Parts: sequence; C-alpha cells; structure tokens
Amino acid sequence: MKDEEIIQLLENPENHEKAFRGILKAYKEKLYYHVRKIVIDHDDADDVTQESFIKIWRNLDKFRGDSKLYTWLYRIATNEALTFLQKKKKDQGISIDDNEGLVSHLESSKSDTYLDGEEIEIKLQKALLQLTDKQRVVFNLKYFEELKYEEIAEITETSVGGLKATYHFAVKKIEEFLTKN
Amino acid sequence: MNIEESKIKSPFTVPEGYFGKLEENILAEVNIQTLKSIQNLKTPTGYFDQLEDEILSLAKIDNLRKNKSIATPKEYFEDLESQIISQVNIEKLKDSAKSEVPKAYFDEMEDMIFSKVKIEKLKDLKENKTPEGFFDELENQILAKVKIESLTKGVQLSTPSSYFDRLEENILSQTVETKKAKFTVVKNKWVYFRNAAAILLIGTFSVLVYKQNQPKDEFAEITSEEMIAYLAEENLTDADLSTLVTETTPIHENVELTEQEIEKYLKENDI
Repeated sequence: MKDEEIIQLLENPENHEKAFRGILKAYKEKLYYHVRKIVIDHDDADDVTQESFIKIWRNLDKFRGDSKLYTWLYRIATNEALTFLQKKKKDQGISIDDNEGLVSHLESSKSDTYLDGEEIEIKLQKALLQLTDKQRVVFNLKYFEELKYEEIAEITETSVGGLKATYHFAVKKIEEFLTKN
Repeated sequence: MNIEESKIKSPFTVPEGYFGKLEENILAEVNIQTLKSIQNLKTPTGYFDQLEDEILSLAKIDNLRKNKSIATPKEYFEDLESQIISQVNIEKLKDSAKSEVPKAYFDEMEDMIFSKVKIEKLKDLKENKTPEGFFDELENQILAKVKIESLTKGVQLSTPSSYFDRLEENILSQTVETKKAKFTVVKNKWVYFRNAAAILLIGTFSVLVYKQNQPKDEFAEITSEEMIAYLAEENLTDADLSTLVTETTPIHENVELTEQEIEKYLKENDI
C-alpha cells in the first residue's frame, strides 16, 4: 500500500485499522532498522519497534496530513528509541552521551547471527558510537536512509542549517576515527 | 578516507521470519489495546440518564432515613417553647438588675479618687502625725552624725618630711631620666624576652629585605603590623622563638630599646 492510499484511509476513522495494517506492512522493516541503528541491540530494537507501532496506532487520529506520513512515522520511532536509550543509561547510572556500553555490546555481538557485516561496516558503527545519540540519528537518516535535510528536519524537529552542520561534523569525526583505527 | 563515497552498509541483520512475527505481535497487541479501550469506554444506551435517576432516588432515601433518625420525645416541642420563654424572662431580669451609671462616670472616677487621696494626705500633715518615738530616734541619729563629722575632721594623714619631693625624684629617675641601655635578656623576665624576640624578628626581616635591594620583593611590602599578626597567628613556642633569636643574634647590636619602650610598644600593639 502506498502512502497516498494510507493517508486517504486515515481520513475516515472507520478505516483506521486498514490504514494501520498498511503502515505496518510498508514500514515495519524500515522502522526496525532505523531503531536498531540507534539502540544497537536486536532485542531492544524489537521492543522499541513494537512500542513505536502501538504509539502510531493510538495516535492515528492525530495525523493531520500536514507532514509526510513517513516523516511522522520516523519521528515517533526516533523519539521512542532516544527515550529508550536515555532511560536505559539512567538505569545503568551512566551519562547520556556515554556510549561505551553500546560499543562493548557491538564488540561482543561480532559472532552474533544478528550482526553480519564486513569489518568496515562494524567499524563504521563503532565510529558512529563516538557521536552523541542525536548526531547519530542525523547521520543515519542522511547516510543510510538518504533522506533530504528538509525531511530530517521534520523528523528531528530541528532547523535545516543546524542539521547540515551536525552532519558535516559527524562525517569529519567518523573519518578521523576510521583513519586512526 | 571518504565515507560518503564508500557507501558503507549497515551490518545489522534479523532472525529468519522475524518481520512476519513482528507484524503478528504488533497486530495482536493492537487488538488487545482495542479490546481494552472498548471495555473501558462503552456504556449501555441511556446509561447516564438511568444513573442520574438512581443517584436522585438514593439521595431521597437517605433524606428520609435522616428524618427518621432525629425523632423527638412526645410533647418535646411544647416543653421546649416554655423553656425558651422562661430563659428569656431570666435574661430580661438580669438586664434590669444591672445598675446604670452616668455617661463618662468611670473616666471621672479616677480623678475623684486621686483628689480624695490628696485631701487625706493634707489632713495627715495638719495633724502632724508621726510614728511613735519618731523624734527620739531622730535626735539620736543627728547626734551620731555630728560625732562622726567631728572625728573625721580631727584625723590628719601625715607623710614623712619631704616625702612628695622624693617621690617625684624617684618617679623621674625611673622614667624620663633613665639612660637608654642596650637591650639585655633578663633571666626571670622570659615573657619580655619572648615578646622582644617577635620585634627582633620583624627587624631582621626588614634588614634582610633592604640588603637584598629587590624593589618588587613581596617581603618588602609586608608591614610591621602584618608581620606581628603573622607571628601572633603562628603560635610559635618559646623554644621556636629562642631558636630564631639565636639565629639572628648579630641583629641585636642594631637595636637600642629600653625595657619601658618595649613594654609600651607591646601594650600599644596589644601583643
């Protein structure tokens, strides 16, 4: 189901279930991978993705169509993932910007069946964990999802100018890390 | 390394058939949520109208119960009326019994009492009232005082001949005319020695600073008062001070102070 069809179904509350099923089919993988890149762990990503879709279901009547459907969906999933990470770090008593736990998890997951990539792909993820969580979100959406700055600005609710600076800073920092390591 | 050109992929994978299960889970959860919301929100038709009626009828029943519970004994209200009337009559009698006073009576009363007291005093004076035996005692007292006065006048405190001249000379010899002697340590005046040592230390510091000829030396900016304060705060023991004094013995020759001068200085500086 295309986004336009889903938006049309959302106009009538009686069609919300059908619309939701359409959203789930079209976006479950995209949102899962988006969340996974933020929280790293598969089980955490699984929980956050499910929570995100429940939130989407509960808030279907709040979607007004003044933003694109996928930016609205990504916004909910992004917020859920960031909130999850903040809570997890708080529970572990570590700083919000400290991703050491995620780095060690990435290291220990090398033999994991849910992590299957070349050395450089894992290294890139390690490099990404040198950034703050919000910087990682911007980088992921631009680099992996290939979204435009305007779209990322809608998802992250920040200015385009600020996003450009954040992305370029992130790229520079990652390149430095990869060169050193 | 240019990562934008490299286009590195994400290494994350999922278990086989994961997304199918994910979809099922989410839909199952959504169904549970929907059922919960239906159970929570749906009410039978006309439920709220019926609820209102029920609440009103319950309120009526409650009122009736209350009325029953406050039943009174037979002829209670007849007795109550007569009791109230008799109580009112008692209150009226009490009011009439109250003595009325003229306006501003109590303001004038105070003045009247004072004037009466004055009149009584005047009467006492006219009658020359004195306690019994008053005048006998008075005479004795006067005579005793006269005796004391005469005795005091008779006593002459004498001094030896030319005492005051010699006293003056003695004081002058011990103060103004005393020659300035070199400072020496007196064995039984250890306190003076200790205090003097503090002053000698100040002198030592000043001389050293001067000899070094360093205009921006921090020591040069320390005043004597600050140095004294420092020595006072340091709580140096007698042994410390004596050691310091021994180390700075040559400086003694530069200081010419009398004991009186040292004492005066110490008193002035509250050491």
